[in-house]
Amino acid sequence: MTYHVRLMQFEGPLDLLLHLIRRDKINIYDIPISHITREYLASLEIMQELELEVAGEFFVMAATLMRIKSQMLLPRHEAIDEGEIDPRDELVRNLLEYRTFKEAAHCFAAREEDRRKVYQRPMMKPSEEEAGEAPVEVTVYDLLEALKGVLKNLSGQAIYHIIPESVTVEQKIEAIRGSLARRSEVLFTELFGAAINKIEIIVTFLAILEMIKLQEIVARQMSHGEDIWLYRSATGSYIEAGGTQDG
Amino acid sequence: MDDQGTFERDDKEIEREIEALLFASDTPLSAAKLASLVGTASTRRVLAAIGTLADFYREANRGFTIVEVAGGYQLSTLPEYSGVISRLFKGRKKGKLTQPALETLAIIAYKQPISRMQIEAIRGVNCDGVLSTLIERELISISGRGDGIGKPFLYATTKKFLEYLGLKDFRDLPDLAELERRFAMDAAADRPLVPPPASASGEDGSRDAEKQ
Repeated sequence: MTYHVRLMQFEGPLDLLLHLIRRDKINIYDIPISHITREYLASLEIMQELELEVAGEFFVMAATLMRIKSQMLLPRHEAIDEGEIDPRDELVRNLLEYRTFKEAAHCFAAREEDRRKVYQRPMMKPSEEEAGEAPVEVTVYDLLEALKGVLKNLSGQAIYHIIPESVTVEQKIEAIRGSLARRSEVLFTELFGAAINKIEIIVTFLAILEMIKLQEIVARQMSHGEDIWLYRSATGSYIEAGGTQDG
Repeated sequence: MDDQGTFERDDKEIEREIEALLFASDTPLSAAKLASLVGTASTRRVLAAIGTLADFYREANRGFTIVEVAGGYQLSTLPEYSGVISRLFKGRKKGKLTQPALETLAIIAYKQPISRMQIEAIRGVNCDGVLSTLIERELISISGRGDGIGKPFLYATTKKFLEYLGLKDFRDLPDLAELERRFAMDAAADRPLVPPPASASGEDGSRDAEKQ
């Protein structure tokens, strides 16, 4: 049995809906909801049959469509004629807004294409003192260099008694998360502010390395040799994972 | 170097200095910045010099020109020579942005500063990966934190974004209202568009107000 399936990559449920609306020449302001629901579910089925990974959002939309469909079936005589709210309104608004940005993305792609045809002077700096405006990625060597600075500061203080290790890397990671939950960025050296001994400094440093490895944070600096700033990376999702959602 | 005491510096000399600066710089230089670098108080003189230089390159049929981008000016090769230059760089250019990345970038560009949740509400899908790609390419950055639950990060486009798309500034972005109108026209071409039903009063009617 041969399938003639034009495999289309849908960016999401709204994208799929827009595709169906276009394909069936549906007036977006007056969507026949039972038709579109049927077609939408059929598309999901095909996607699953093809063993495409169907993101959860697609099923949320399926539920939304069925909810709207059932609301449309409810007797509506009690609604005041003028002030009546169409159950489809919100969906239509979403579709229109998404469609506009999708179109904007097309414009962006065209501009990108144009821009890729022309070349500017390559990124290179004659010397280090001329700091660029965009922060640059920090290497492990930059971090080690910065650590050396922190340790040097410590050696200036005379501490003679030995304090047993009291801080774990995990605790430090939590502390750094805490700092970054309150602020968007933290100065590298700031994280060592409270450290009283070498072990704590090293534990803090290990925590930073670990978080960079886990891509929870990123380290940036304006140019090499300057202050290193730590930012929460966009991929880190520990807040959402740990957060409770009260309605 | 020290021209103190003389009247006004020779226009030709300013032109050459600006040309040298544009040649040496790896980022667009604003007229104000150029003015301060060459030591003239007047951005008008700078703009005039840039105009003269651009005219000169065009008339002399050179392979590059001066373009206005991200609030500044820079030397740029002409599109006609993309072929020969790409032979030099052999695929060393970064990949194009994917459709999800472009959509997300568009939403941020028009709605900044905006949180991830707000972006996801518009796109209807998770945007985690896309956001980190855009941050990695330095097209967007975290610009602050919102007031909502958990003080979400807010994202905004960078100067590099303007450079990436070759935009002069934000006014140079495609007009959103224009894009919407284009749809209305496309739909009309497809088939007669039934005028949208009057949307519920009180409910956000801003979008289709003009069409009623």
